[in-house]
Amino acid sequence: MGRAADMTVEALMYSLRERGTKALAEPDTRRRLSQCSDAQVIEVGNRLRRLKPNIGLGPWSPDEVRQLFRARA
Amino acid sequence: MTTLEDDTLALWEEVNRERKPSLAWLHMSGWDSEPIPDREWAILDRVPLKQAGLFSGEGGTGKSIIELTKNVAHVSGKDWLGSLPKRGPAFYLGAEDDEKELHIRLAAIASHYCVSFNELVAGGLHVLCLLGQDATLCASGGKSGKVEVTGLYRQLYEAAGDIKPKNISIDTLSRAFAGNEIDRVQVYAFAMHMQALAMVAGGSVTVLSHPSLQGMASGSGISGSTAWHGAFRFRQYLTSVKTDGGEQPADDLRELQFKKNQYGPKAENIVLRWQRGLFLPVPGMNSLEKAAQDQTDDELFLRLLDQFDRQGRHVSDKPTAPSYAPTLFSRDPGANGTGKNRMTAAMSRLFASNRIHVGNYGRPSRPYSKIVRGAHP
Repeated sequence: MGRAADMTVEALMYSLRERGTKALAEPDTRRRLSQCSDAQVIEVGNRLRRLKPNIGLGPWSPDEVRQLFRARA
Repeated sequence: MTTLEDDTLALWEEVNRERKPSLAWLHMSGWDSEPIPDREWAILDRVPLKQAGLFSGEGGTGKSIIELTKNVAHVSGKDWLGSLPKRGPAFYLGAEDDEKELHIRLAAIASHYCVSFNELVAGGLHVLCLLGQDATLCASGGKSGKVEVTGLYRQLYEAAGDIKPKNISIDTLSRAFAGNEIDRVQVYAFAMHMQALAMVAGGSVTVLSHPSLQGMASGSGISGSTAWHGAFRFRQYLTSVKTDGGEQPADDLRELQFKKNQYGPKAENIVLRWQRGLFLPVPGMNSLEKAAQDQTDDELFLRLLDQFDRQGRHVSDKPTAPSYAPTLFSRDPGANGTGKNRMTAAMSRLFASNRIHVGNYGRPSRPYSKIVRGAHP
């Protein structure tokens, strides 16, 4: 699995931060997710859990991160 | 203390464990240059290695003894019914006979092979007596009927992985499989678990079973479903002489039929005779009908010999004598059409097996000879 460009990761972060787990059903999100390396997906998970409450939909729960990882699988 | 990063990583690993493994396609690109592997046999052209098979036969015909004999042959590196099994340990799981009976049977087999019990133990013969105990290895459970393995199976699987027996005998199917014998799905699931056992052992697994009434009548030797034939890679059937018109069966004769060999030619049938506590091949005989006919001829010869003796008519073994036994016996109404050639063959067999001999009668100064029952004194 290759490593996605930083821009791709940021676009992925934006969609997930703004639309939550609903974004996981979107083709663009899934495409971006599939381009990420394992380490990048784990880091996206970390960043989503650390979100401040006033950013997007707020920090992700462990269960939501689990959904993200499953979407990647 | 667990950090958020650790926790996320744990989530990642958890999801990864849920993932199904990718399809393991064979890497065949190197096969053009790699040598073609040889087929591996536990017993050449009869029992393939790393495969499970079925050995069926009517109750009381001697399957267990023949299977025990095979295991002893594996362990001691001796001949089994005319072929040489791969040498190595062997397991026998018996749920139908007690320890004493197993001792008696094994003693006869060990005596035949001239090996001691100490040598068999050192060679890796493992016998488990499960008479009166739960011997279930696989059982179907719940509404789905899914076949699952038991704790005993798991123990056996571990032991097979450690000891690597060349053969594992499961005696019998009805005690080891608590499922529906006519359900194809369950039959295949049971066979798959037996196959897994064979693979972890690197040997063969032989499941002993009883045929249904239909299986006996048709000669197929299976019960329940034809899946029993399809699911196993090798299959043997032990049969005795069929009774015909109320005639007594030859109790000491059996025919071992090799019904299926997935990986090679089917071996020829073997006629076996009960001798000194075990079944041994009858030399030059591969048809039970022929063996049974020979036995009937032998009995007829002895019966006529007794009849002639009671009548004071002495018979001779000399072909030129007017009282040559095969000639006179074949002319007797009691011979029921059995010809001189068959009578001659019967006489030869009876002499060879010491059941008749030539004795003298008349004046000591001028004795005459005649055929007499029993071994020569």
